[in-house]
Amino acid sequence: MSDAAQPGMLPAAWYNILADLPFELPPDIQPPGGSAGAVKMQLPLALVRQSTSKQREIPIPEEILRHYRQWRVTPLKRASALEERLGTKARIYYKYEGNNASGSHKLSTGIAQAYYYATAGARRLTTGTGAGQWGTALAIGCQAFGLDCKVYMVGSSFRQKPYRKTIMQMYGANVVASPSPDTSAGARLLESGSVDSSNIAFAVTEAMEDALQSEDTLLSVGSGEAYSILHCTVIGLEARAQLAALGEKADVVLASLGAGSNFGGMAFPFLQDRLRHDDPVRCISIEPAACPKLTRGAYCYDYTDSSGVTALQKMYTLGSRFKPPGMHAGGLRYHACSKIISALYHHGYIEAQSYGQRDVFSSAAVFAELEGIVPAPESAHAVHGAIQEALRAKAEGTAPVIVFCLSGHGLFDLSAYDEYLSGRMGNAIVTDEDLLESLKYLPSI
Amino acid sequence: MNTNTPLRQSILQALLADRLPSFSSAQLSDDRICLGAGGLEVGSMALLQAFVNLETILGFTFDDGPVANAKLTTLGDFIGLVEREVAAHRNRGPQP
Repeated sequence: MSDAAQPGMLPAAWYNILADLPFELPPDIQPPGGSAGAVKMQLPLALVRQSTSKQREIPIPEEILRHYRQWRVTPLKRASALEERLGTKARIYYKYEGNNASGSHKLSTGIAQAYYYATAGARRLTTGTGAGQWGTALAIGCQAFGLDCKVYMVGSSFRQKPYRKTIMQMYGANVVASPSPDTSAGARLLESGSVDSSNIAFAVTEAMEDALQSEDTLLSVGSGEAYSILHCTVIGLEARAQLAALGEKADVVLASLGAGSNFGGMAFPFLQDRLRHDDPVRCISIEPAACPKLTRGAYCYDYTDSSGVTALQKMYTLGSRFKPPGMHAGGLRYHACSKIISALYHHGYIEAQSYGQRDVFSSAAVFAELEGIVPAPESAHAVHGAIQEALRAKAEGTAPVIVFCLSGHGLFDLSAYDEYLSGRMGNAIVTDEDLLESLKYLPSI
Repeated sequence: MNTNTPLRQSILQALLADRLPSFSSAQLSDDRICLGAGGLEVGSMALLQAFVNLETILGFTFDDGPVANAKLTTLGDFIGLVEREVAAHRNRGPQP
């Protein structure tokens, strides 16, 4: 229960923030046309219901809880050594989500989605993945519920992290680098010679084409959609109950922001205290300076993939043609973010900060030294944000409770740490010119 | 076929919502009109949302199986599926 989660106990229900939003979400706009032949159902009805339901607590089916129990409840730890090094009176806690086979928070929705797709009669799922955490999580979920799985992995990450492919294969997935010759969109791009191998939106486009052309195959996406965030709220629900058991209450909650499953999963259960009870908790999303959708993007209707066939959603976006500068946090490369998180930011309920890659890795190295966990590049953004908040508290002479989501470990990302240690890593900050160029192609609504 | 039953009106409302007035009564009474391109221009997500909207109106939930396996090309296909599910629900009687 969202208000009654017990420390050390798995929540029996997800928290649905749609029940508490004090504003209406802008409606999606379906692109005109649809298919010429029979319309293919792309999503289990249960996930459609979860995307629109106003029920505050959505019960978690026992079949999902059975798998969650393999690694949940995840630990909430106090970063005492980090506090000491910073000389801050702030009390810093982190919720660690790297203690499962996927190595990240994504498994909470990977298991849930595979269950709902299998229950709906799917035989095979396709997906796009950036850094590989989501692809791994879905592979694990698919194996758990007897589904075949094909993963289109952003090409640059595919080459940087060969062992991500191996672990996905261990769990039975067929993994290819995107762009791939397996789809007509990918083949055309490869043939043209202008290959962009860092575009997660294109990987999703390939997965979608595959799903549309196969009778028993459906597309699954790991972040941004309301249901994927919903499934990840077990993270924030657990953390909130664990803090309460320690006699603590969060003043500041931080998580990195890709499309939204990590930030929403961590922050929404805390944010309900603000929405329902006027609690002053601050929820801060941390994004890379290479892909700053909330801090530098536009709030407007855009496509969620790069092909322009998906529904238009009103969200903060850099444009679906956006190409971030070279960066290692592949899970944060997505050009836009969840319409729910976008609206919360637009209405002033959450904050956003962006940081350069080198600065983020610098904080990650300190965290690894003092707390004994190598953060994933994505998670390192939250580490850096928490350190900045702790230093701010020190300067102001305050002692807030800061809690952040350490969404995954970085043991598949050592090539990134190698670049950091060699001194070759830059801050990867997108230029105004590149942003303006990408935003030129936003659909006119 | 009576093309103006309350159920048909509910189905059209759930399917087209704000776009309903942009279609003529002749189009909306023609079961052969395509759901997708060149017809009502309804995509997969809009169709799924229509099922969920109808659940609120009809007071029961659709099973995924019949929805996922149906070949829904025309408005008549969609209305026929909903009518069959309504009948099946009635035959099952009250749910526990």
